Amino acid sequence: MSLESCLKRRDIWRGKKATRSRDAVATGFSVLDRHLPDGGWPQHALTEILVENITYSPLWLLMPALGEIMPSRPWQIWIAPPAIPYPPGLSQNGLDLSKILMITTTDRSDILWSAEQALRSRACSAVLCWPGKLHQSATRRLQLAAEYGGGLGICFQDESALNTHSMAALKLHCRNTDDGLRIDLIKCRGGPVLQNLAVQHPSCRPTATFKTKEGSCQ
Amino acid sequence: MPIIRAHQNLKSRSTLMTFGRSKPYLAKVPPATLPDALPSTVRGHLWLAISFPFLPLEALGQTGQQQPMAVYARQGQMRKIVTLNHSAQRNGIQVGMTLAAAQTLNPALHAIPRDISAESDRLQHLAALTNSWTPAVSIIEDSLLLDIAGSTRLFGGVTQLLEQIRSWITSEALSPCVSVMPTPASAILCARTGKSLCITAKEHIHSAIRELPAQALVTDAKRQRALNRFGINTLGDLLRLPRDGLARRLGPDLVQQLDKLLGRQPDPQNTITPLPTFRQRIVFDIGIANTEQLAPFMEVLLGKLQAHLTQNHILAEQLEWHLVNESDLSHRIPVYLTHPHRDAIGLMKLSQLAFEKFKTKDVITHLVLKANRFAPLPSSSEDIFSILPKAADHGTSLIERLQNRLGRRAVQGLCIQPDHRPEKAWSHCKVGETGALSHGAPRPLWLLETPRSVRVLQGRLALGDQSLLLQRQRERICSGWWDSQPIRRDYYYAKTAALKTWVFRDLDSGNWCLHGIF
Repeated sequence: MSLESCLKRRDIWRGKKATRSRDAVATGFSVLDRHLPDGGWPQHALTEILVENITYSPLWLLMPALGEIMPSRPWQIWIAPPAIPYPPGLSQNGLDLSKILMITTTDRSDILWSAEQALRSRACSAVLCWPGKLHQSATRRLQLAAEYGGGLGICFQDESALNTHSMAALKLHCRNTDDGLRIDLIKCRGGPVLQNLAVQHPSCRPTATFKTKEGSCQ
Repeated sequence: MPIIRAHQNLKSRSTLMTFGRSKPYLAKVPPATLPDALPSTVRGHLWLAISFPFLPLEALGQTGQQQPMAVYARQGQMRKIVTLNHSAQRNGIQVGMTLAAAQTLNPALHAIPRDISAESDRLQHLAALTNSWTPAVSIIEDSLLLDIAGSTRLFGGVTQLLEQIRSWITSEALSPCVSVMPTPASAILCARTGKSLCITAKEHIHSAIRELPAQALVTDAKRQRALNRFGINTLGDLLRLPRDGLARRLGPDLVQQLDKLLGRQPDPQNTITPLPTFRQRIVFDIGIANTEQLAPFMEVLLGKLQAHLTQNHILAEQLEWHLVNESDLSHRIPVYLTHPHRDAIGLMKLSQLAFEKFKTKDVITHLVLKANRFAPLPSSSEDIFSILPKAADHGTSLIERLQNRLGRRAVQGLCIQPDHRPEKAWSHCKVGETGALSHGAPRPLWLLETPRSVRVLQGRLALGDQSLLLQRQRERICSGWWDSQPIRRDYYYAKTAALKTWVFRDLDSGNWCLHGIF
């Protein structure tokens, strides 16, 4: 086995890379780009994002990346989202609505089946799914499908998946704290596991607030 | 008078056997005028007629039987034999006999009533298939008439084209007779009398048909008797008679008929455009309880569909399977196609996906495949340097797979609607469609289907255990008074440390609600 072929393997950790590999898409957040091993969300791979409240899944975290990879392939598929992905908002964030496909189903096996089909098809630049609890075998299937199809696979789960074993390439835990969103890397293929990365919501930077009769504010 | 004609068909068939039907028989014309080779292209029209002497038996699907069989038709009180198979012929039964007489000759004769509509269906089906040689196809009573003049060059000459059609029709039908003539009337006449000719020049018609019995052209009994009285047996005799006398004695239409026969008078034909509707079924001898066992039969039907689509230069837009159970109730399983196509293997995969969700305990007795909606085949030329693989198809085939398993309503697109009310400012739409453009003011990424009420604690809004900070801008949305869901709300952007939300105060009730999340 030559050194070249050895270095091509994705499961070999080569320390910190200077440049972003072509297999990743920039997250748009400098903290994440700096600490994720490929310099962004890994393509050809499944990423699990664990959140406290599944309804408040931080879509904003993905918006720059989704917008960037959107032109590369015909579709972006959203499978069983917990609320309505709001088209005016998505459009304002630079997504092309005609490329978005919504799959509304409550059947768990249908969700996993369509996620696998979408990831495997090579027609989707990204597949976002909310499958509820994922078994290890399911994460393995999705990871293999993503490796084959080359898209960006994102699975949102709640915190019950914190201690389960996963075959996904990247597993994040998003915590809402008083100082903003904190991200822990629980599993990160080809990179160190880090805690407490602070990521700021682009529109949550401090601004002037005011007081109303009933409501809050400073 | 179908009975008499069919009778003549059979009589002439026995004489035809001596010519041999494998080669087109050239008419007995003087050798000097016989062309060495038939011209490869023909100007004007050239007509090819196909007659089906056993059509009534074929239409009933009874051609393969060994036992004596006959098809009869009612004529007033009488039931007369229309067609019969060879083994019935050997019993001495003839076309035109009454059924009672035939059954006296052979009591074991299996007699079936004639089904005219099945015969016309069969002719329509055959006419649709001949469309691969020429678009100008007509159905003349129980024969097909094709104008092949425009196709001769493409198929390498009249002889080659005739050979192709002859070998195809011989495999499709029982003892068909194919004849090529320069006029429609003469082509039909030759085919019906069992004369397999191939003549392309009008001046040769006369010599070719003069031996044919005059009764083949003159079908009504009164005129036939008159011809017998004149001592006229063949068409040649008839053509020798003076025109005006013939018109006076037997009617001017007979003279017209003779003129059309020889091409002295125009004889335009109505060509049919066969409906591309596809409907085929397979009946199972033993009912099938497991839908997986249907797969081989589905493949057969889809193969037929593909042939049908190729024939008509069309693509299927929608398919429908019908599974019919013992009590004749049918289950309908639609197969959705996002873009029209005709690839049987692809259609099979999609059908299997559609069948996956289908569960029944019924025993299926027959399977029907229907296709009603078609699209024309796009006439695009391939790139000569098509090195780059085409990825365009991946997208649509994925959607087809998803829609066929999950149903059409589960796979949709998103679009913006021109409405100020946030819950009505969006909708699902067909995949790939685009709606209105987005509004100017920032909108959240998530919208809650039902707004969640927000508690007010000591003058502050609280979401869970985090307090919400309202931002200065306020957006008042009062709209929808014209329908039953008017709203009057003030929308604010509100933040927690990690979330940016979209909340509103209902101006009527004063309640605060969370409606969206950025």
